[in-house]
Amino acid sequence: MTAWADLVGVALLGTRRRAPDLGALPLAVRELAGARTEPADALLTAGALLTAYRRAGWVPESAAEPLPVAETDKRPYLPDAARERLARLLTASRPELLAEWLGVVAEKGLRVPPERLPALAEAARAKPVLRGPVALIAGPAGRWLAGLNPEWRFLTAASPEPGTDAWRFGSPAQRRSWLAVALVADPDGARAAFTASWDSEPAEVRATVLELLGEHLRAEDEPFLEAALGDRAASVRQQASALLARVPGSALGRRMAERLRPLIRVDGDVLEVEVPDGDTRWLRQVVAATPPEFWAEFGSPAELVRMAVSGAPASVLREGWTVVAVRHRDTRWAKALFDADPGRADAGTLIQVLSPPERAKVLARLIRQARPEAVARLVVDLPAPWPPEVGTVLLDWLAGREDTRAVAHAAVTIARTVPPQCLGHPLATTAPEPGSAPWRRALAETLNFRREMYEELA
Amino acid sequence: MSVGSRARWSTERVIGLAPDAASARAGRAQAAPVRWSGAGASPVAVWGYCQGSGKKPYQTCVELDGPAFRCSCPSRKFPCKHALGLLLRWAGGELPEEGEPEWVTAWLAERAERADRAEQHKETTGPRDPEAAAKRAERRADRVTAGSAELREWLLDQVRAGLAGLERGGAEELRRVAARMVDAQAPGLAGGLRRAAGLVGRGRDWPSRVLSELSLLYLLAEAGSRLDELPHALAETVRTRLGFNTETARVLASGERVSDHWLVGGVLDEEREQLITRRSWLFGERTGRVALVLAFAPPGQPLSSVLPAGHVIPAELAFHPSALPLRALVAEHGSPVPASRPDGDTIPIALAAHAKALAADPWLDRWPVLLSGLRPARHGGELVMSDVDGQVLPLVTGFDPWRLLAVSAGAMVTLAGEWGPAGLRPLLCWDGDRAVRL
Repeated sequence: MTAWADLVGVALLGTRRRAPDLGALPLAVRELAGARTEPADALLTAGALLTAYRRAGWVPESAAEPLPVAETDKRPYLPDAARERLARLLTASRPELLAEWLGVVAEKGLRVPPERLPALAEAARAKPVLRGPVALIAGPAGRWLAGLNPEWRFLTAASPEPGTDAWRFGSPAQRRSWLAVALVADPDGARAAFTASWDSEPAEVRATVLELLGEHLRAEDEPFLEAALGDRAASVRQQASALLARVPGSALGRRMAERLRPLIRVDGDVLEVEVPDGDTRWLRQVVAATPPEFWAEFGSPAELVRMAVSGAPASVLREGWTVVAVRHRDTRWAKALFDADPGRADAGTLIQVLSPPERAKVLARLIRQARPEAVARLVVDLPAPWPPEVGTVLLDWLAGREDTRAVAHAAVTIARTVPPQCLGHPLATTAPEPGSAPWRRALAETLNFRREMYEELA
Repeated sequence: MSVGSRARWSTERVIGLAPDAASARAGRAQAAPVRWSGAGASPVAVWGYCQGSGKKPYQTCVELDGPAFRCSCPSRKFPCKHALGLLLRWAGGELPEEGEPEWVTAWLAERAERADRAEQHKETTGPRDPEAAAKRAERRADRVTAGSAELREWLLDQVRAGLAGLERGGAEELRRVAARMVDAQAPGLAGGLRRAAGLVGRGRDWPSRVLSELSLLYLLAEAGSRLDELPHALAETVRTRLGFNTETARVLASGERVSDHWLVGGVLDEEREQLITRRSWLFGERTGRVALVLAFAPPGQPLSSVLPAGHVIPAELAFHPSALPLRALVAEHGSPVPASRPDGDTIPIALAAHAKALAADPWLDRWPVLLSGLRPARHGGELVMSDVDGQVLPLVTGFDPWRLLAVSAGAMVTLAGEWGPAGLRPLLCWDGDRAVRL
């Protein structure tokens, strides 16, 4: 509107230098302002009128380009109570609870209220552990938002597509889940994919690959693992060596067995060991790298563990056997070692070799025999997910415990790790006594929160 | 006052009570059932014991009518997080219906008695000295008239010398004059000057925006210096814009009364100078009237919460006298219920209503709009809302669009918001039939 621009120009310059040209004004404004003879008065009056005139007569521009429309989301909405739960989770800074909640929502195929998606995407942007779970529930609206906000791109690559795109372009979590599936569904393709990019991967990824590969080892993996013994990263080298020892019939295992055989003799109840140069560290490594079958000719694991040892500290052999039991998932060795020493410091790694009911049994015994500190330490190391039997044993333990720091520490882990099947436990359905220790209140709160969360989504 | 608050509140309504975001967060954390013992609800109150960090649990009680809060915790927030947590549990249907325990009954009785005393006090005392009050009012009117005349002259001088001179030190000059207008007891004029001070030198088109602001102030100052000659309703508008308060009692006694089911289309809190102003925009379902209800409180103190956003509330409003009756008081109200999606206006109809409102009150800076069939679009690189014909409403700068975008996902939405010279500020939209605060 040029009349307005003229007015602004004159106002800037000052009416002493130039008088406003009222003739250019719309008729209605001119009639009202024209009565003012003093130029400044006329200008301000015209300015006020024209401002109102322009505001009232504002005409919208047209020819906007509409944004694309997202696909229709056919999933049913969350129940109302769960909607409020989400609001609480978003303000609670408990990412592990939020991730768990999102997992259940995704499993049930439910839809979260769309207005929460930006907050969820922001939470996941700040905390990468949430990206996978948020991507799973994002749905069409979430993917549509990610198209507008590049910082939320992780929302788009939700569905683990077949093909190696997920491996080549996915987030760490997506790559991991792709590889876990592919190692079962297409073992050769999976191996081809990770060997192709091996040299350019960061050390964490190489470690992840080895970790997953460890679940599905084949004899043919030996050359690849031998090569990884020369890896740049020490952690990868260690993992490769551990895996090599597990490869069925591996050359490394055979070599170690050959070295060990002349050094071992059983005489009645005594296991005699010869340690060259007294180097017990070397002995431990050789025992750890020797396949469990080697020991069959000397006795069963239970017998061997109970034998007196001469020529070397018994603890060195036990440490070696523990590694063997873990690497080879050898339950007989694991049980034998546990029976010999339930409160052992490395119980956390050893216990995962056992079947769920065995784990619970071992724990129950540990709880009876060992100090609470030992149980607490094991709880923290115990790999998740826990079988329900384990969860129940640990909740019973907490319920009957006196207040100690060790127990309080374990309670945090137990509260968030026990599987949902355990949430009918009295600790998860009742409020603690008034005046209970803070850890006990926090425990009850987390457990009850999780129980309510599952109930709402059931 | 209330017809009854028996229906359970929505969680959104409870959260709307929180004095700030931190309180809302803390309140949600208190909603865990294991923290509570002896909690219950009756038609008039909810109560319970909340285990805090200390040994002794806090006693928390909320009178639903009002609402009024009491908690034995030391928090100075109102309502405190315990009261919010308790209400959230009640809203979630988690509290058993039962009779009030004695400590609750005692508190309710105490409150009722206090209210009675206050009522009697008001009846017996009345205005203390009507003569002195009239004198005070007259003195103030004189000062405002003088202030208006002074501002008018000052503005004329500025325009004679040229507004370009404001670029150097003009903002301070404007604030200095604003302070003089505060002395002249014309806070409306002071506010306009401070707004102009904030515009000087900001952006390439600042002269245009400063001229709009100053010329409207000039018009106001001029109108303020000849209030007696103006038609009654317009004079009331000018008085309000100058910053005269209209007494609540006068509005309730003689303001225009409109009964309707009012959609609370948006509630917006703004903090300025240690005072939070809450604007609630209402849309009458039957009458098609719109209204603005204002509430004020210092930060951390409770603001009136009878008008939860996204709800429809049966109420009788009393409008302030004005050429554009917009500001109103809630004279009587019933229980709010969540609002399903209404039929909104088209862009041309909403703009026509705005134009008509401006004709009555040219100083109008915000106008409520309820619009249907809007979708997010791009125009000139900006995110805008557009209708099916591609007509564009720009969004105010600083509006966080993501929640609105997420609800729309590109499709048409119905929304309520404020419209003004700065653009559209959406406050509420609907996801299906569910109102969503933005």
